[in-house]
Amino acid sequence: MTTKPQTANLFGNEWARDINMFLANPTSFISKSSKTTDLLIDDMLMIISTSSTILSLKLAILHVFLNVELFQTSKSYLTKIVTALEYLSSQFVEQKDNLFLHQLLAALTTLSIELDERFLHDSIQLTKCVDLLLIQANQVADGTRSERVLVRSAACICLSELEEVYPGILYSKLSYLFQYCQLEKTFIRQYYLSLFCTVLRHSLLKFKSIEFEEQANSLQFFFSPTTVLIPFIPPKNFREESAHLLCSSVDCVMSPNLEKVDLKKSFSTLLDASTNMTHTMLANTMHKLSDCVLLAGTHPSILKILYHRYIHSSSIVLLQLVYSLKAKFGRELFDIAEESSFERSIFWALNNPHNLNPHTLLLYTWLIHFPILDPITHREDNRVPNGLPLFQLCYPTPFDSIDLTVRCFHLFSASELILEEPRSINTHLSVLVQRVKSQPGSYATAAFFHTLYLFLHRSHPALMIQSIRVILTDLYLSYPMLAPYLINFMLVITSIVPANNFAIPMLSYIVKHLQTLRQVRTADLMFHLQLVEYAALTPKFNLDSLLVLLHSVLQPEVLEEGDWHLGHTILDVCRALLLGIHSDSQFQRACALLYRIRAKYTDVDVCNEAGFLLILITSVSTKKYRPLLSKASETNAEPSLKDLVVGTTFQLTAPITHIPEVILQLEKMPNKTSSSSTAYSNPPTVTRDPTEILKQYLTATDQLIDTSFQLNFNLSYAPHAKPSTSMQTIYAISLHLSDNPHYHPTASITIPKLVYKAPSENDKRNVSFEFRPKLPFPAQFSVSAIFSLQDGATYQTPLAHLEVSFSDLVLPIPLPQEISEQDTPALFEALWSHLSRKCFSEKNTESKCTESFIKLNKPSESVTRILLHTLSPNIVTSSDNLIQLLLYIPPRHHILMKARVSPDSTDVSILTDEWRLLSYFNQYMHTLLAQM
Amino acid sequence: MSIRGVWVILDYSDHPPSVLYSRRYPNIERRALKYSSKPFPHFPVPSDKDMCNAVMQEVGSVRENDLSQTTIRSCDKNWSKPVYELFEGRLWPVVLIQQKNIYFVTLPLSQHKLSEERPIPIEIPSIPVALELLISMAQILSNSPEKIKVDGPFLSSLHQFLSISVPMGTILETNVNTYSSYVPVLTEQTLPSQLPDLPSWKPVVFKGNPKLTLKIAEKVQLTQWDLTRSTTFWNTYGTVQCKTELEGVPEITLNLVIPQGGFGLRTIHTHPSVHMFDAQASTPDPEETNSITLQGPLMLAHTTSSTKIRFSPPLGWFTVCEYSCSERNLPVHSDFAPIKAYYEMKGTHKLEFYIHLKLDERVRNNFEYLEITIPLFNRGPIQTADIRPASMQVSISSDQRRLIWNVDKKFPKNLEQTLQATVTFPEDPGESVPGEDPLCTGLTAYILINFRILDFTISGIVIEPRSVVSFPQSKYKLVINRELSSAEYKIWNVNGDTVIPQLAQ
Repeated sequence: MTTKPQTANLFGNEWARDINMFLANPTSFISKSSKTTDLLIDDMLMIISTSSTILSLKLAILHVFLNVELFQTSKSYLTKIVTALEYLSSQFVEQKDNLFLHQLLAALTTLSIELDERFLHDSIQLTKCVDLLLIQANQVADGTRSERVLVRSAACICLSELEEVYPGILYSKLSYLFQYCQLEKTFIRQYYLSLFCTVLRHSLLKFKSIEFEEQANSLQFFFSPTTVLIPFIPPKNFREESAHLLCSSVDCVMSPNLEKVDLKKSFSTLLDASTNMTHTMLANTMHKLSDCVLLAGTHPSILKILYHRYIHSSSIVLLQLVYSLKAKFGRELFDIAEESSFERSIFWALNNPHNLNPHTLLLYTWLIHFPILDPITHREDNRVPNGLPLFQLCYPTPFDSIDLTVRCFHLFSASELILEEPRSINTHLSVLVQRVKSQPGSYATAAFFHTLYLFLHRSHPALMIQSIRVILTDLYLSYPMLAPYLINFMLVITSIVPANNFAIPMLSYIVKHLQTLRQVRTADLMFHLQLVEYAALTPKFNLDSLLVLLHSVLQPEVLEEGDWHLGHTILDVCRALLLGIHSDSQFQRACALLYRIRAKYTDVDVCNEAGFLLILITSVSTKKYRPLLSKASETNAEPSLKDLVVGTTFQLTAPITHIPEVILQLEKMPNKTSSSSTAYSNPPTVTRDPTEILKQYLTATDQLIDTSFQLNFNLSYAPHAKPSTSMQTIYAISLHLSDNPHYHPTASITIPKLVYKAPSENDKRNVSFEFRPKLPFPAQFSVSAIFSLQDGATYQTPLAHLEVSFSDLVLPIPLPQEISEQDTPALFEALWSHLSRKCFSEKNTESKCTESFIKLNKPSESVTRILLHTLSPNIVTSSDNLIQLLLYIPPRHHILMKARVSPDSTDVSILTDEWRLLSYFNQYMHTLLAQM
Repeated sequence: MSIRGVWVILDYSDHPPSVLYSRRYPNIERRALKYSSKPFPHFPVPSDKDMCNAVMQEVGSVRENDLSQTTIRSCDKNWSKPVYELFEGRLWPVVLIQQKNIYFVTLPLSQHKLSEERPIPIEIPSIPVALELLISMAQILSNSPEKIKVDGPFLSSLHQFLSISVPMGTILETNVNTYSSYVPVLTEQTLPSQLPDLPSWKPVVFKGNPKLTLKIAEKVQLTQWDLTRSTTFWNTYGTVQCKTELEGVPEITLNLVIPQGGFGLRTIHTHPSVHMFDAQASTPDPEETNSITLQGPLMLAHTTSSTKIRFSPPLGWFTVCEYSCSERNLPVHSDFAPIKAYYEMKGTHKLEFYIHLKLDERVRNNFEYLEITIPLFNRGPIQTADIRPASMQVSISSDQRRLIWNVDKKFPKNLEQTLQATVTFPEDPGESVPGEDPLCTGLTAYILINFRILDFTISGIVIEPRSVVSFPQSKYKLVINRELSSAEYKIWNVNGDTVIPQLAQ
C-alpha cells in the first residue's frame, strides 16, 4: 500500500454530491482540492480500505475508479489502483460487506484488463487476477458455506468476462469448470453453468485449427483435468488467438465420426439446469449452448425442448431465443408447422394487452423483418398460415398510441389485402387524419406522412396515388402549415412516383385554388409561397400560373405593410422562377414583378434586393445569371442580415484550418522581468523591532490580493519552417495558453503582424505573458496560435510547449513599503525562527513547514560565485563564511537558506513553508552546480 | 448479451436536459471495437453531454404535441422505437424508453462483424435484454419524486441495481423481483451456515407466517362513440397472480374455472415455468405447450370448463398466467359494455352536456369506487358549473379543466345514473396548460370512466379454493381475491368527431 495520505476527509458529509461533482469534472475537482492526483487516489484507497467507511461510499468510490478516464489513461495511477484492489481482494476474509466484495472483484477484473490492454501486454497482472478468481471459484468443493457463495458467484462472473474479452484464455480450465457445474447446488449454480458454456463455446471454436485426426485428444482434454488449477498460465499467443476466435464464424468444426458422448452429456447438464435459471441467464446460456451444438455438429433436436417451453412465452427475451434457434438450425429443428406456430405466437404476443408499449413496438419491428427482408408486394404469401388473415392482426385498434398505429400500418401496407381494397385508404388513414387536423405540425403529422410514404413504398403506388393526392390537397388547403411536410414528402417520393404523376397535378390544383383566394393571412401566405417555390423548381411545371399567382399575391396592402420575411420569401420564389422561365413573355412578367416590388415594397432591404435581381437579369445573360441564382436557391437558410448585405452568392468564410506542423516559436528571453505586482489593502505601520517587522510582513502577505510575474518571449517563425508564399505574412496572431490547475487562466495575447524573412533576419515580436500561480509549482503549458492571412482564411497551429520552470518562480521578497531593505536581515532571522517553530511544533500537524540540510562538496569560491551570480536579488546577507538567501515563490511561499561556506564544502540549511518545494529546489541547485 | 453504457437523462421543462446518471463498461467497449468492421466503423461511446444532446435532438424533433418544432422529420426516416440510431446513424443500436420526463438509454453490444449489412434488430439478442433492463430501471425510479436528487436514495437504489445486475456490462438480471430477492443475501452480513438447494430465481427461503395469496386482476378497455349504432370496442383481459409466503420451494396446483354464464377465455399465456393441462387429465403431459388458444367466435360458455395449473413460484408477486376474453387478443366490436354510457355535449363558451350511465345487469352492483372524469380542454379555466341534480358529487379539478363526478358506489334499482350540467368558460381561452389533450377541440370530446369492483370479473374466471394444493403439504392461510377495474374507458361525445380507426367490415 502507499504512504499514508495527509487526510482521509476527502469527501465531506455531502459525499454523494461531491462524488457526482468529481465524476462530472475530475480536473476541476482536483484543482479545487489543492491535491495532486496521486494523493487523491491515496485518499480514496484509504477510504475504501477502512472498515468503518459506510458501504455506499465505498461502492461510489469503486464506481469512480471505473468511470473516470483520468485514472485509466495513466499507467502509474492505474497500477496503483489495481495493486491496492488486488490486496484488498486477497484479504476477503476480513471483508464483512458481501456486496462490497462482489463489486471489488468486478472492479479489479475490469481494471486489470484495462491495465493489461493499455500498458503492460505482459499478462502478469491478468495472471494474478485469474489466480485470485480461480481460487474463489474452486471453493465449491467446500459445499454451501454461505460466506463463500457470493464471492464465488462474483468470481464466476468475472471469469466469464475475462473469457469474453480473451476468448480461449480459460481453455485449459474447462474440465474444472464442468466439475464445478456438477457439484454446485445453490442458487449461484447458474453462474457456473454460464461460465462453463462460454468457455466451452470458445474451446469448440478452436477446433477449426485442429485436424480431424487430432480432435479426439482435444475433446478428451475437456473432461479430464491434466493441468493444475493454479498458478494459471495463459496460453501462448492468447491475444492473437482471441482476436482470431472473435471473428470466427459459428459452423460445424468437428469430425462427424468423433465420439461425443461426454460433450452431449455436458449439453444435457446445461439443458436440465436451465429450468432453475433466471430468464436472463437462461437466454444468455442457451444462446451459447446453441452455438456449441452447431459447432459440435450434434443434431439440434436436443434443443427442441426450448421451443416447446418458450414458444408462447410472454418474455420477449425468450421469444428472441426461439427465433435465434430458428435462424441457426432452420428446418433441421423446426418443421413448417412449428415455424408457422412461432410466427403466430409473435402475432399473439404483439396483441397482448399486458405488454408495455416498448415491448409491443419491438415486436412489431421484429415482425416487419420476419422472416424475410424483401418488400412483399409481389411475394407469395406461403409463410402465412392458412386461414389467418394478416389484416385483422395488424390493424390499429382504438387503444393504440400513434407509434403503434404507424407500426400497424407499416405491416398492413405490406398486406395483400390492401391491394384488394385500395379505394378505402381514406378510411384507413382517417384515424391519423383526425389527429393531424386536431393538431397540425405535431408528432401525429410526422406519423401521418410517414405512413403515406410506407403505403406508397411498399404497395402498388399506382392504385393509391389518386386517393393520397386528394387527402393531401384537402388537408393542405385547410392547414397550410403542413407545407414543409408536404414538400418533404414530394421530394422523397420522387423516386417512387414521377413528379408528373403526383406532384405536378397536386401543385397545379393548389395553385389554381390559391388564385381564387381573396384574402390570405400573412402566416398562411408564407407557407403557400414555400410550396410555390417548390413548384417553381419542379421540372415541367407550368410557370405561367405561378407568375399569375405572384401578381395576385402582391396586393397593395401587402406591399404597403412591407413585411421583411414575407418580402424575402417572395424574392426566393422569384429566384426559383427565374431559373426555369424560358419564354419572353414569362421573362417580361418576371421583370414586371420585380419592378413592382422594387417600386412599391416599403421595406428598403427587399427593395434593394429586388432591384439587384432586376439589374442582374436585365444586364447579364441567362447562361451567366442562372448559376448564381441556383446557388442562392439551394441554400435553405432563413434570410439573414449577411444575405441582405452581400447576398447568398458570396462564398461563406471557411472554418479555421488546422496546421499540425509547428511553424512559429516562442523563445524565452534570458532576463525575465522579475517585478511582482503585489497589492496591499492595508499598508502596515513602521516599526524596527524584528518581531514587529515580521508581524508587519506576515500581515502584509496575508492581505496580498494577487501575486503574478511576467515572462518575456520573442515570437518568430520557427527556424525549420518553410512557409508558403501566402503564409509569409500573417496577421492578427492570437497566442493562447492552455489551462493548468496550478495557475489562474493566462490571458491570450494578440500580435498584429509577423513577416517571414531569411532565418537570420526573421521578424521577431516581443510578447509578455503574465502568470498568476495558485500553487507554487512549475508547470508546462501547451501553446497554440490562431492567425489570418490576407485572403481572410484563418489557421490554427500549435507551438512548442512553454515551460515555467522553478527558476522562473524565484522572486525577490516583496517588501511592503514600510519595511526597508535595511530591515531585511532582521526580517530573515525573524522569519527563520517563525518557520522553525511551526516546523517543530507538536501541536501543528497541519503544518507544511519543513527543514532540510544539504552538503555541497564544492569549493567555496564556486558556490559563492554561483549563488552571487544567479540569486543575487535574493541574498539577504553575505559574509565570508555565511550567505543567507530568501527566495519568494508566488503566490506566498518562502525558501530560506543559510549557506555556511568552508574551503572544501558548503553546508546549506534550508527552511520552507511548503515541503513540496524542496524537490524542485533540490533539482534546481543541482542544475546550478552542474554548470560549475 | 452486453451493453456498452447506460444513461438516465432528465428533461424538465424549467431546466435544460441533463444526464442524471451514467455508467460505462470499458470491457464491453473494448469488445465493440474488436467487432467493428469497415462498413460499420467503431463509434466510441460519446461523452455524457454529447449523448444528452443527441438524444434530445432525436426525441425532441418529434416531441408529442410540440407545435414549436422547427425541424421537420423526413417522412422516409425509419420509425424504429425503441431502437434508435444517433449521430447520423453512426451509433446504432441505441435502445431508449421514456417515462414522464426521464429518458433511459443504453447501447447494446452488436456482435455482427462479418456481415456487410447492418443486422436486423431481431438478430441481436442484446436488444430485448437491454430493453428489459431499461424497463426495470424505470420501475425503480417510478416512485421517485418529481425532481430526483442527485444524492438521493432513488439514484442510490438505481446504482445498486446496476452494480448487482450489470456489474461488468453483461446483463445478469433484469427482473426487479428477482433482484430484490438477491439484495438481502448480498447485504446480510450473517447468512445461514448451510444454504438449501434453491433455484436462481428464488435465492432465499421465506421465513414467517405462511400465507398464500392468489389474485385475479381483470381490466376492461372500452371506447364507444355512438350508442345508437352500437359502436363499441372493448377488450377484457386479466392476470392470475400469486404471492407465496411459504417455506422451502413449494409447488402449487390449482384449478381455474370458468363457470356457466362467463364470457369465456379466448387466449391464455402462462409463465414458462407453469404447467397447464386439462383438469380432467390424470397426468399432465410434460411436453404440452404453455398456452391454450381457443378457436371460434366470441361466445358465452355454456358449460363450466376447468383448467389445472401447476407451478413453483418465486418470492414476491408472480404472474401465473395472462388471459384475454377476446379472440386473438384483439378488441371486440359488440353490444356489451359493463357500463353503457351516453355522452352528449354542445355549445362553445357555454357548454351543456348530458351523461347517462347504465350498468349491465350481469355486472356486480357494488363498486369500490366509480368516478367519471369530464375533460373540458382547450377552452380555458372553468368559470361556473351548474350541476343537475344538485345532490351529485361533482367537483372541479385543481387545474380547472375537468369536472370529476363521484358516482355512488351502488347504482339504484333501475341501474341508471344521469347527470346534466352547464359550464361556462372565458371568451379568451388563453394558453394551453400541460396535460390538455389537443384532440379535444370544438365538439370533439370524451369522458373517462374509472371504476373498480371487488370480487367480480367479466370473464367469470374463479379459482376453486379447495383445488389449491401445495406440495409438500403445509398449513397456511389462503387468500383469494378478484377484482375488475377499468383501463382506458372512453365515451365520445355523440355530437363530435372521434379518433377511432375504421375497420374494414
